[in-house]
Amino acid sequence: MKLRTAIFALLVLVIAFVAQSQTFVIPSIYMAYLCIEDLVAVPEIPIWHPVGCEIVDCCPGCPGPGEIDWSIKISGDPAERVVFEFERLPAEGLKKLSLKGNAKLVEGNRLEVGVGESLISGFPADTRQGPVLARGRIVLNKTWLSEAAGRSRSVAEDKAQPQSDNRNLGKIEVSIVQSLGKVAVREYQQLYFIIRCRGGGGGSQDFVRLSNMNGTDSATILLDGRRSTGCVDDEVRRASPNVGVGNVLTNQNCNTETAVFAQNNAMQLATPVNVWTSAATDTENVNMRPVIQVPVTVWILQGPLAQTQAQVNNDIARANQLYNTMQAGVGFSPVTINNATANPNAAGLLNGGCGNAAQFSQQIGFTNGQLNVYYISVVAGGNRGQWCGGGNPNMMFVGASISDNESLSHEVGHAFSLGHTNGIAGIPATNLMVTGGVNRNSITTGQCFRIDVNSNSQLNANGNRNGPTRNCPDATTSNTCPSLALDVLPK
Amino acid sequence: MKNLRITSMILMVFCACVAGCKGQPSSSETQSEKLSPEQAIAARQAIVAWLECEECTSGELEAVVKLGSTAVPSLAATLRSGPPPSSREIQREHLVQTYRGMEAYAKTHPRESGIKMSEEEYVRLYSENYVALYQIRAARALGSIGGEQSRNSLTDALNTSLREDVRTSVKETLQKMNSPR
Repeated sequence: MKLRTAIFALLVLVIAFVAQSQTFVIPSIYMAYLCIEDLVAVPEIPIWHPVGCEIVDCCPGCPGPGEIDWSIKISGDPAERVVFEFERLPAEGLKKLSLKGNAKLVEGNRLEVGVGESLISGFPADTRQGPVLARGRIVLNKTWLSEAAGRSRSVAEDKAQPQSDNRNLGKIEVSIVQSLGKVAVREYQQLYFIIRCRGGGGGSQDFVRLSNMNGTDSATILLDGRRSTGCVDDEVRRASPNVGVGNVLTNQNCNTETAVFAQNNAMQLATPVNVWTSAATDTENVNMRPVIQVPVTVWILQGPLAQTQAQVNNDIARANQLYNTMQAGVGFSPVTINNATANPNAAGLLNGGCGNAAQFSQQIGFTNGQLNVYYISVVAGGNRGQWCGGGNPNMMFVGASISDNESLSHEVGHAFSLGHTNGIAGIPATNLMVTGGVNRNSITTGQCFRIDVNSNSQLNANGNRNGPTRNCPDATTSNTCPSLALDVLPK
Repeated sequence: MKNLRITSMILMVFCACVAGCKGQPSSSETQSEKLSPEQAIAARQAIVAWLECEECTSGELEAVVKLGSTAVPSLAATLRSGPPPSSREIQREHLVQTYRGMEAYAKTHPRESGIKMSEEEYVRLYSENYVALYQIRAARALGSIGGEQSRNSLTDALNTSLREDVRTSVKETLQKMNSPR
């Protein structure tokens, strides 16, 4: 018995050790939503990927410089083939490639890869001009496209049929694993979801009517309520200003609410909603309001001043664009920029961070009740950025020497209650809250909801927003908290 | 009593294994040459996670230090050269697309403070930061791993053209390595 206990203890320890050893991998899954209406007009999807390793010597223990192989997999009914053209790869280099599976050279020095698995061997790892670039297009299957467009059209034109959640028509997956010998040196996976974007929602049904909309953006609506099948949670609808929602019934014991997200408008949360009846003629009016402006104070410690100031300007402009186009409903204004480069204490704090919070606030400056961003050189610990959380949720740092064009937006995301998304299923590599990576350009609707309603989001804590609040940690999904991964690419 | 002894032995073996895995690495590149493809992939992923993390709060540096001398050649190459050409291309493409997107956005949002530099300046600013990020992180990891090979890599890097803040970072790392603990 004791032996069994010992073995069990050992197993627990081994599992704990393995868990502790896991590294934080940067996701390599990319996603895009494409409208069938656009694809009918142009039945191709552009695709781009460089040839090369993820680190400069490819990997620890790699066999040294050599040729790179692509293992490429294309799947999904909508796809017929991918046609690549290569930059920095002369025609003779292209002819030297070894092709297996469904890959073949075609006229015009192009490489055509069909659906299924193929192996392309012999890419040069690098050229003097830079890496070989594969620029291509996914050619769609015309039969599939025609049938899908027909199906979509009939739904769109069917006045009796309410606008439906089921807008998905098909999916294409392209994965490329680049290898040096037997070792994978870069992975890439791109998912394309083909959806119906327009039409539908006519006839006899209930509506959400958006009044005072600023702009003409297609709003995203999350609807909780009751249908004939029972309670429904976070049904996604997109339209504006009148959004057909089918027949929503009287509440009974179901949670009822409507959350509305739109560019150039603040998020609106109506809860509970008591207008729904058994008739399919009800209307919920939602009064939209302008984007909530969040005041920000910036302290520049890192010189030269003009250069850092230009960087601050870029980063604020990027934050405004990103949060607005992703329908978070927030903007950043006024932005007060303070020159602290001449402050005698600045030099000693250029590599500081949250551990020096008191020094920053006392020796450099701090404005109560709003976001304070300090542009220093490299944040303590070699970090690009840092949000202080805990006792200083309005304080954050950007390491101006190593930050990227989304570092500020990322730190603001933390101040708005969001955590990192690495390793969260369904959230792509392009999400703003990925720690690492170089192409962060999206915020999920699940994240927008948290930005706006979480009581620990500084938007609410600082009193920038007035409205109902919640406590929705990233990992919580319930009838009052949408999944963090809900609607990963709102636009 | 016998069972207790077995329990102790099992725990001792486990502790020795943990200590072995976490301790200072043995010499070498020969060790790295013996990595299986799976181990090489895991090592590469650990290094990239450290080189690119925004706030490195999930043990990214510790994971690289755990690789020990296995990681030193890759880190030394990164210190010399920064990100690989293909990653620079991905970064450049993103910056160009972002810049153009922001320009288009500014036209429909004239009241917001728009971008005030050219596309070329914008791309250069963040591309140079990207190179510095890789080099500063590589230097830091080499300093944390320690050993003669790491020290030599850092010293050699000072003889190459580095951005001034990267050079300062390398010097500081060497100073820390040389100072008694």
